[in-house]
Amino acid sequence: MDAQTVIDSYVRDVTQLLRRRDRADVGLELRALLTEELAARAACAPADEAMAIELLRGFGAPSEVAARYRPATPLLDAADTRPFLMVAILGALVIVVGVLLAPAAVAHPHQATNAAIGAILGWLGFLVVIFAARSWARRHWPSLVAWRPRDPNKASRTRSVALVAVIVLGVVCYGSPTWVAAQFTGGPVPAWMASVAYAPDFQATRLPWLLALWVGQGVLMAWVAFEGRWGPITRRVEAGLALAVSLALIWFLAAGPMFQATATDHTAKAWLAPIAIVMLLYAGWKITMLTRPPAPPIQPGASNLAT
Amino acid sequence: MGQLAETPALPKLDLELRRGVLVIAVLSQLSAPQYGYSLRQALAAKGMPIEEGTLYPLLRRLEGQGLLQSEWRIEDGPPRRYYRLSEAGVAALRRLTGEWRDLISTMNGLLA
Repeated sequence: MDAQTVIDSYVRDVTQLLRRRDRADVGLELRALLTEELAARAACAPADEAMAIELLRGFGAPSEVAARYRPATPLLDAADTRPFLMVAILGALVIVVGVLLAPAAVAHPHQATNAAIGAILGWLGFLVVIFAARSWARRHWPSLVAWRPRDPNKASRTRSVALVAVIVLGVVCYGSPTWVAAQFTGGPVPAWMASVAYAPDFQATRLPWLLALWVGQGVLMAWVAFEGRWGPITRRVEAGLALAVSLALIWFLAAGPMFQATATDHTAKAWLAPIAIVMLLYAGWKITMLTRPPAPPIQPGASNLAT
Repeated sequence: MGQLAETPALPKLDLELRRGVLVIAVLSQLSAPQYGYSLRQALAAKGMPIEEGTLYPLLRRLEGQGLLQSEWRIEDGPPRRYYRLSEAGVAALRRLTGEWRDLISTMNGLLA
């Protein structure tokens, strides 16, 4: 390969990474400049392939050079790299453990592996979209993401009331699904409800614990909404209830069937496994936050610089 | 001092320092038209060597920002793209020169 062919190949690789309308012009100029550089280096002797490659390697990888011509806006902000990796890895672990815990995974390990891979790829794609949208919003509406002082103990009353409503709805729907269905149909319970009927043992001995814990969480959120603030006691109760709910869900997974229909029970447990893991991680995080010593107040004039 | 010379970050710090003056250095040499290679030679001759991989894309970016204007010319040799300051470039150079002199004064005070 002669030196000019090497330069042409390099210029082609650079310009392919540029906007279509810039390619011809930049390519022509870059080719002329590199040819001149090479001729100057070669001095009297004709330039060869090795000299051209040395010149072009010093010039930079085509992707780097193209980026210098037109710095691209990054899809994800560099500051988001660590949060992105943390959430991505955590989500992937939850998916893997959730799939492994699903009863169907034992019978069909190959399908479970495929399902896990598909779910992880979907999760990563979802995260890229979310983080890219966040980066885009930061650039377009900087005022929306401008830093504001935040009181960590101030509770949003709207959010607390909304959570109470969600909890009440959950207790009613899970506590008496046939009654809820009858309200919608105006009398008879639809036939399909038989497929989601609870196993008698589960309904009598295990489900009431979860409903009681949810009621506890509802009372807590109502209290927080009334107070408008979190305090040391409400924080402890919140962490304790979160831990209790996650342990109850794990108990449901490990104990006997939740539903009379086997297929329904398998599907429900497949969904419940990752939810239980997420809840356990959430409870662990809440407990960690409780045990973490509060940050010392910043003293006026204080400096962390060594003197 | 010996420890500082061995610090791996030193070449990077040096590069960052020089990167800050690249634009003003380039603009200062483009009152008269120059093409990329001749500009690089001129800067190197005056003690400001700039890698070709940095300079050539920079010229296009400055043109994109309206500080330079360019045209293709065929003189004694192959076609070459010549750059020179635009009106906005002249104004920018004047302002940057003022800021550069203020900065030198400040830094001399700091380093004294």
